[in-house]
Amino acid sequence: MNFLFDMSMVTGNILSPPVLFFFLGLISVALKSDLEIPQPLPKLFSLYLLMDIGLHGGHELYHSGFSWELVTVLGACFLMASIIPIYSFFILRSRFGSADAAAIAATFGSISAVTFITGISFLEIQEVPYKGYMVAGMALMESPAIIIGVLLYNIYGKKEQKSKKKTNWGHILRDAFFNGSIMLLVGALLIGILSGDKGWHDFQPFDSIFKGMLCFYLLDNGIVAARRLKALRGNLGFLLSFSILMPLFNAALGIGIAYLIGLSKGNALLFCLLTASASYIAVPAAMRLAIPKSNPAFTVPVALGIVFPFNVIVGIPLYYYLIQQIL
Amino acid sequence: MNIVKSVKIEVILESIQVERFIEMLEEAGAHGYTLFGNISGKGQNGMLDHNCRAKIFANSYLFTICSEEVAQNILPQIALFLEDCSGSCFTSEVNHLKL
Repeated sequence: MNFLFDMSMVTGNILSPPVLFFFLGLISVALKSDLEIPQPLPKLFSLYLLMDIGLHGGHELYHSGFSWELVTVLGACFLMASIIPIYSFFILRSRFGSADAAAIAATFGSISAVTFITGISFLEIQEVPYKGYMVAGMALMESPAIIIGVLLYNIYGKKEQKSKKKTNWGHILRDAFFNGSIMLLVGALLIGILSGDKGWHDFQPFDSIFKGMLCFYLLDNGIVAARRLKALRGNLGFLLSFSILMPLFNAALGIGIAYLIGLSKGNALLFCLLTASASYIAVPAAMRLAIPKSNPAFTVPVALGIVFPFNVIVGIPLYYYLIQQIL
Repeated sequence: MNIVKSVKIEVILESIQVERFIEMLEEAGAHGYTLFGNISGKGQNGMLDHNCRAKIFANSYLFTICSEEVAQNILPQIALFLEDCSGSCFTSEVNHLKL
């Protein structure tokens, strides 16, 4: 085993245009620049990225078909999305009330599509192959955390507050399974399968601007992350430690599972990123609706301001290094 | 020209809550409303700006004009709704020009 950390992998990741644009966003806020991407363009970038990786995954599934390997990956994704919020919740309850603990725990149980996409970009730079069906795992991992988070709050939080308000499970299930991100991702995956090679060929001009769109999106992410991080004052020490240690722990678990189920290095990194990332769009909104007492000033800054940059800058090369040593 | 004394109810609330708020408003008897989405401002919960993809930090402004009787029905329900989520509600008497 070679335990020497390959610094060129780290610098290669940091010096890639998407990550540098993320830094540019952070710096622009620190320097109080008026750099801003007008809304709703960032929303369009995120829709584009989801559509592109959905179609790409669908096209790969069109060729590979449904296999036992796919079922195993989906099972592992479901397992991780269900257990991460549970242990996260009990750690967070040492510091927060059940409402905030459940909401933050759910963001950790769910995933960040852009971390996943940045991981794909890293693998392409390193010329490491991966399977497009990992996108199906990503789609599957977004919802269970919301359900588990609300269940945890119903069990522990309602006792604390003696609340008799009934949970509207219809709304929660709709938000969990039919939110815009999942609809587009799953829809694009199915369209990729149905349209086959012809569809993917026609889509090529659209696919060729993927990196540019990712740069724009990460620039905006940097701006938003820097602005939102200010909201953590008072809990910064605890949340900073939690938001760095938890992805590391989840990633270690992810690598262990990837080893057990025999994933390739590329797929293992993507699986690892799914377990180590936290949702900053779909889940905070769903949890705010399901648990109005939860404070979004914690969920979004933690997921976007700490976990996302940590994974993108340090996590991706570190996890891949560990994967290279173990798998 | 027909000027009718009416009640104007103005609400500022989180954009993610708007859909459910409107459902509640209509069930309580409001016949219409005007909505301004994605507004920015600062209140008890700190700065809320629409310039964030996470819709969770965007606010919306909504107003409805109704009779005193309907307002009496709507206001307790708004109070109940805003108990759980951040927002503000203002009422005023207005002259409504009915055409």
